[in-house]
Amino acid sequence: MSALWWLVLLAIVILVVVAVGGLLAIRARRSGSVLAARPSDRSDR
Amino acid sequence: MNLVRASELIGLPVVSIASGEALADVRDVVYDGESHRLVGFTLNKRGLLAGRMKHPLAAGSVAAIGADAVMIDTDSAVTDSGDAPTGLDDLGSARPVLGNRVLSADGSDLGEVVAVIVATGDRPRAVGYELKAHGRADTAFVPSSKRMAVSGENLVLPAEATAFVHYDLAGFGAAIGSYPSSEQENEDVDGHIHQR
Amino acid sequence: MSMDTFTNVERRPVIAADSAESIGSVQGFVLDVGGRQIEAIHVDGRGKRANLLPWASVSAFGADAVMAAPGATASTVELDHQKAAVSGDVSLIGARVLSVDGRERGTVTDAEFDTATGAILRAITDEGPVEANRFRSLGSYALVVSDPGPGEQRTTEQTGREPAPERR
Repeated sequence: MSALWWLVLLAIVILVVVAVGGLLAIRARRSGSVLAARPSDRSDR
Repeated sequence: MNLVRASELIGLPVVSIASGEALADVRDVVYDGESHRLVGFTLNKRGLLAGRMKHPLAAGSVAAIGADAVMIDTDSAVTDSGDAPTGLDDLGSARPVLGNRVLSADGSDLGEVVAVIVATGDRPRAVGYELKAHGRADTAFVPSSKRMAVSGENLVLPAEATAFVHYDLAGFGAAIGSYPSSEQENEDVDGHIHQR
Repeated sequence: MSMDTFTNVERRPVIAADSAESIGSVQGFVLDVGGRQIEAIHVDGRGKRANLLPWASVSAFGADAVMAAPGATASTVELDHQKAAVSGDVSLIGARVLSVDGRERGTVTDAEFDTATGAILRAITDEGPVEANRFRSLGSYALVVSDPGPGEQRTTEQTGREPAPERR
């Protein structure tokens, strides 16, 4: 196969990785947690 | 009043009783580490790729917390661009609780926090913690009290709390009534623990 | 009082009483935000070109045809809730039923209405009928309903996990 085909293949692989990574990042950004707030935050240090 | 794990509330839709519209999804569940009252929720916009919403939802604006949705009376509870509700304006000081190490007052490692148990109802609050001890398959429940300190890394149990550890949620629910809850302590002048 | 159901009247012809011409057929309904009253019948077209016949212009909701009052004309969609109804975003049929305490109570499969007044009488769901006086709102997410009377109160948790104990 010519070098051009390898380049196209590489580009496709990179695109897929970026897309999956982006989706995972967005999902991680949306994921929440359970937080304890301390309105009287003064004596905890 | 029902007991639910706080993490089960994450992702629930926030639905307006006035319009039947879902306005947001629950992102973080925030409670007061000292009084254990539920402070409120931070929110995500609806939709898989949508980001977070600027304004949190204060517990006082919540009409009901159910298994399938958090209900609010009117849309304005989450759409108003007014001041952030009390207790939710300084989330910088809120620390994640799940995964915290559980230490007894005498310094022994009891395991880690795997869940915060929230009692829904008129005055929703965190009534206890679910713990997983190292090397144990099951989990334990311990009621919350004002004497507990949670730092985001450690949860320190007062000595008396160790006696109230239950290994099933049903027994825990029955036992909360007999344990001096954080709410009752708040009503006490000096908040001392009643001995049984 | 005579009543009919949404699924039963689907595609029923809508005829102008004065000219005897067809205006369209029953495609759907535009309800008020409470979901208790038919405001208009979606008789023809889709999207922006949808035509609505206001309920006030219905002279008779018959068993075989809906008769439009003399001089009545179908109007186009203007308001947001009309657009939402025509596009199917807000529809009583298929709506998720959500109680005010935040629990899902099934899906609406049909609805009964008073053919004289256009008032919704009750929704039929896969978990039983819900009287219209329990409706709080109908939106794109759900039909929000008040809790039933003490006799019908259900206590089972529906999360499929450990049953949560009631605290007294």
